[in-house]
Amino acid sequence: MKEMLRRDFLKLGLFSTVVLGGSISLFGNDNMNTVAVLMYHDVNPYSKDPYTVSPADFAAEMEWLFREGYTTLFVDEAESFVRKGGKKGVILTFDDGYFSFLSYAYPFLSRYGFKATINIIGESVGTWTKYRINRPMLSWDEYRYLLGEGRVRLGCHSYRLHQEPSGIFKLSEGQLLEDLSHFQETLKRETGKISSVMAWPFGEYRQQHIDSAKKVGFEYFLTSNEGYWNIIEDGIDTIPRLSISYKLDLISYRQYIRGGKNYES
Amino acid sequence: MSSSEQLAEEALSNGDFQEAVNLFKRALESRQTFQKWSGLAVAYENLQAWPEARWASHKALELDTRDIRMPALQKRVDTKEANEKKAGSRGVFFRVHGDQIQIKKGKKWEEFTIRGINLGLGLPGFFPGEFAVMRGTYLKWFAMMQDAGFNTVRIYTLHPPAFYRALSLHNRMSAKKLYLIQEIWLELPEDNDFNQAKYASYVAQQIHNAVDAIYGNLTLSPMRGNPEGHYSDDVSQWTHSFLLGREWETCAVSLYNTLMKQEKGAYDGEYIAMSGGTPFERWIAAQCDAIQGYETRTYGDSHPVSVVNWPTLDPLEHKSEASYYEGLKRQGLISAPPDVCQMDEDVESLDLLKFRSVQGGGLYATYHVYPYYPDFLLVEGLESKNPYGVYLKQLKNHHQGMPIVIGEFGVPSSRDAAHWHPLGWNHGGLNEKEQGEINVQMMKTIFETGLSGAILFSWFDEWFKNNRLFVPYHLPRERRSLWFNAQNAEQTFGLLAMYPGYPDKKCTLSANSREWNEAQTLYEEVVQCKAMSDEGFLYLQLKTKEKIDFDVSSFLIGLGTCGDTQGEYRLPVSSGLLSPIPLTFCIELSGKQKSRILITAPYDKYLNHESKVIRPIASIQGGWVEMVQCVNERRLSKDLKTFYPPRFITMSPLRFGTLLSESPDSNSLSDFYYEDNTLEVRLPWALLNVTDPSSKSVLWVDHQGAYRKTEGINVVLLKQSSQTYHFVPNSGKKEDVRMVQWEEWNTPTYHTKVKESYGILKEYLHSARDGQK
Repeated sequence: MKEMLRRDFLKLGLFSTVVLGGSISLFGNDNMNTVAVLMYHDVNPYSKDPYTVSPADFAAEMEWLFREGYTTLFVDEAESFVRKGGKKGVILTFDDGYFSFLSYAYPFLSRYGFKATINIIGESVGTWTKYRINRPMLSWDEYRYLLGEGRVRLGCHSYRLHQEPSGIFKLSEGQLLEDLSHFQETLKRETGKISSVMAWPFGEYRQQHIDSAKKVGFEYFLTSNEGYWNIIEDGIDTIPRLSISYKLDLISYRQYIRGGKNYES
Repeated sequence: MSSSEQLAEEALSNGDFQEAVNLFKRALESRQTFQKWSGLAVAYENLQAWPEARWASHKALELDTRDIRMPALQKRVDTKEANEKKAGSRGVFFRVHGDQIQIKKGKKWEEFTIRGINLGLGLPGFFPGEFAVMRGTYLKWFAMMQDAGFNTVRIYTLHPPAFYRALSLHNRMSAKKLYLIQEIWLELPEDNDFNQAKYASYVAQQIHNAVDAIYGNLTLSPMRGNPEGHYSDDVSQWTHSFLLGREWETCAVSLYNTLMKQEKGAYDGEYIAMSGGTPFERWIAAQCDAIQGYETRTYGDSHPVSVVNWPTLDPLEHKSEASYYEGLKRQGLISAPPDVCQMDEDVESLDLLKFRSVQGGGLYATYHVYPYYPDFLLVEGLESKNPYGVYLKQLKNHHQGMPIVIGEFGVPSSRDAAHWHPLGWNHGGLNEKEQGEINVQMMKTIFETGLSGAILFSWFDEWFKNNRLFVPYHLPRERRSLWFNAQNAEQTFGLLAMYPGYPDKKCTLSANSREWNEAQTLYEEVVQCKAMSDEGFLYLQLKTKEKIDFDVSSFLIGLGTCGDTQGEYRLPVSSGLLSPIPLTFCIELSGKQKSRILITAPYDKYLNHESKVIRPIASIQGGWVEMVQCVNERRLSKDLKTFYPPRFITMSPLRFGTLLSESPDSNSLSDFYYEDNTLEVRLPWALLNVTDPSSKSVLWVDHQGAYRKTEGINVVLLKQSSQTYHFVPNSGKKEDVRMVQWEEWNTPTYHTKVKESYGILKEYLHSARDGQK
């Protein structure tokens, strides 16, 4: 049977490869125990900044993950996924808790059956924050709605420590505990459960902060350190993430998720 | 003979004279001939449209001055017209009595419950102000309405004399009568001042015209956008009531009340009085009084009167409705109040409880209530299984002692919903069966609540109708009556479908080869691919050599709708294959539940509308997305403490099924079907970002405009079997890519077909005993 087709070669000199048989490991990182933890913030059409992805780009990224057969995970599912030999796992995280998650992200996550973790700034819930523009934030009513739908989990991005960089280093242990406890109490009151996931504001932390946070129920610690999460070797105290912003075009995005191997698509 | 002309002759033989009018007009677009004009004249004659028949016959004679049939037709028309006499007898047989509306039967008054249907004017190809419905069509429809079990028809404005003549003819021939609710449609005053002299005189004229028309005592000269002619049929005995107004917009009310300094006051009319009312309510009372006053002075009696109301202006408080400004302010999206009045819910009201009837036919309340709008209906009363019923009870309790009629209710049968409802009573996204079932549930609820009537929206699908989701995308705007948008909820409320093509659907999604005989063959390598289109859809057919089995192979159809330089080249497949021509859409056919249509990311309307650039861009990035739409915006409660999340619909999944009603796979919303080695797809134009197929216009939003013309739609195919691919055209070359072509048009063709919802409603209406709830 005739199998091959003729293709055009682009003037840019990129080539497409045709898969003939067998499987190819498109998950570029050689170490099979890794999961890519993606760090999104805002998805909106109003601002071009390191914390914003355009709605069109986000939707295209999710479509690609779906088509390529990626499995989305909650943070506490990574270990068993990897131990069972799961290859294409990603964890979608959204920091700060923008309302735009509902406008531009959730419709696609819902369509694809994707799981997501939203790391909430406690004091901003139900109001808005300002970064270049005013950005409405999700409310507790909406978090309850999302939890009810079953595909979203909530993490902590502090209650009120997301006001200025390096703020955490000025705090005593008591002050840190007070803030994180307040977060957990609020979360329990509003949603019925505390969280086990902590994402450091501005990605800043020291070992003592991790130790303190464990006292109030946190087990998994998301950082802003760039990398792929090898849960077996690296554990759960300092989970590296891949920051996704408008600067990543789709080809770069795919390479990023795959671990930098030079596949074109 | 052209195909439109052949179909037009077929329509004449079938007695589909209204459809024949469009078909002959369409045929005349290509070339004017005597046969076509004379055929049109015959259609009009059969529709009892005498002036139109005369006009068409003269046009025919211009092309063949020696013809004798047209003079004979003219003579017949002249004679029939001359023999038509004034008909009907005067009388008022309805009144409001306590909380009932009653009808006089012999000497007795009995309770009368309206089982009504709303009738519009927007036939395919026309706006309402063109008054395209002819007498013969009214007659046909009245018989069908009666047969369905309706006892009342409501019209929104003065129709041409043909309507009233047809009603008179129908009621004189039929034992069961069809009664009329005549709305007196009003435009709003330009400067918000309802008292301004010119506006007041306009309102008085509208009232006099409506009353005189039903008594067969009116002549209107031609005036664009208005009906004209001699109204010589007295239908007063079959008229139920007059209905004043329109769905009064919040801002019209609040700006007038502000102009009049919000002074509360009374109105003491001879027929209608009220007290403690806002300036707007006083004005309404005065007009209701004027209607009954004029009728009594001129004709000796008065019909009951009502005024259009809706939940937006209801006299109840809705704690879940924040104002537009307060809601945005709470979210940090606005700091100062907007300059322009906002169409807020729950800020103004029209409260008929303050009104009373002094003498005459009486007064009752009318509300247009849909289950999915305004948004308080989505959150209030949810504890019961029927929040619609909860609201109706609240209305009834408020209006103690006054009859209430639900003047509009219903759900559409569009492919996609325009508003979400928690129990599935959505604004669209329902098939015809669901439409019927929900309509019946609503009608039952209205009657079980003890209201005096239910008037279903609506009789037939109207193509000119717009919806907020499509207003920016039906372009050119004035051509939107020329095509059918299956996605548009507003166009599909009817019990009668106005479906493209004649005499039947061009494609029934049933793998029927005969339907594809006239189709354009695009490819005959690897798969045979054919394409055709009509006023509503693009149809594609694939025929393979072996039986279609999605476990073995799947298909991708790439469409390039915007020319050959802009669009996505990289197909949405793992191999990263490139198309020789840029694409805007990709249809993935890979399973009964898995098939879908994707769009190139920069061309999606929802994702890009804020950036004001919605157009394909030459790319090899491979950014494909599914199409979603926000149908319910985020809302806040009045106290700004509760947030209601936004809701979305997804438009990309393709529904499997056939349009053949007798099949177990039948579904009026079907997008694709396959059987053996044949696969067929039906795509609504709007889903392909076509803004007007009649002028071959496609969406292209940038700083220069919003749409542009396309030559046609390029089509490429990919058949994927395990790890192998077959691309079509086989050469992979741009010059071998085929394009779907179609002709432009200025008159659409259509056929009328009862939907499944018609039968479901008919069964319900017949099961309820006559005249009772």
